[in-house]
Amino acid sequence: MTAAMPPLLLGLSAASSMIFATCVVLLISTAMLLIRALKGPTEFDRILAVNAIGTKAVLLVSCIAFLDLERGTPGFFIDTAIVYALINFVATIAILKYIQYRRLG
Amino acid sequence: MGILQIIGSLFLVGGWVFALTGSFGVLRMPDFYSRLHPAGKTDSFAQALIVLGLCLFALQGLIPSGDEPEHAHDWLSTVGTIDLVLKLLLLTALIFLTSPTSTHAISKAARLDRFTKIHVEGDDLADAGDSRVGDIVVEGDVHVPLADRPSKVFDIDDDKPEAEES
Repeated sequence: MTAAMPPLLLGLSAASSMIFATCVVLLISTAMLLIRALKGPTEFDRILAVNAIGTKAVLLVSCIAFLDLERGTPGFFIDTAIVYALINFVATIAILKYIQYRRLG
Repeated sequence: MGILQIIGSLFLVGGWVFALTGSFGVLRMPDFYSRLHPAGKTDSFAQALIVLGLCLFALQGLIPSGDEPEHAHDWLSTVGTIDLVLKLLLLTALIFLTSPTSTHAISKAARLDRFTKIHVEGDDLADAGDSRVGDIVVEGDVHVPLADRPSKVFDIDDDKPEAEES
């Protein structure tokens, strides 16, 4: 559908270039959150940053699904993103419960 | 690019702005309780903008364009596109539910924690590195102080050899 457009970036079409740029922006924000997760003064800073990194990873998987929309089948990647979002939430709650009560039961 | 993809690109650019400002806020905010604000806000808003932009990118395939053969738009690809959009909407609805819950759980766990010294910017009355926020008791809280830590699993500094001998 974008055959008339000239390739902008790395031989991708215009729509794929937009999604590729979104992937790059998500990676940059993940790097900034990773700095906070590494140098966070308390453990709650680290948990907050890792939770945000998980959300960014969900978005990154969704964007990778749309990189090759003309030929690919993105449904599998979206299933992976949904499962990763749920696992991210459960992992955050589990770590907080372990820190607060020192047990998981 | 079709018209829906151009509108979706605007949504994606809005998502870029919120993701970058949120991450920069988490990196640069002075204390923990103010770091909660950019993390919680951008987790629920930047993902909504980016996922809605991706929905519009997927919906562009339903609009027939001139430079495609006729057999490209059969009913099977239409059902596939609608399935994809519904999955994306389920994803953004799930993150809309779970992200504020996670932020609330993190902030409440940090407030109830008596052992971690959370520095609060501008809290001049407290000692250096101490926080009075954990001492505030609101109705509905757990009034009983939490027990001492039974073990020092993660305290690497206390794991000296002379401490083990005694």
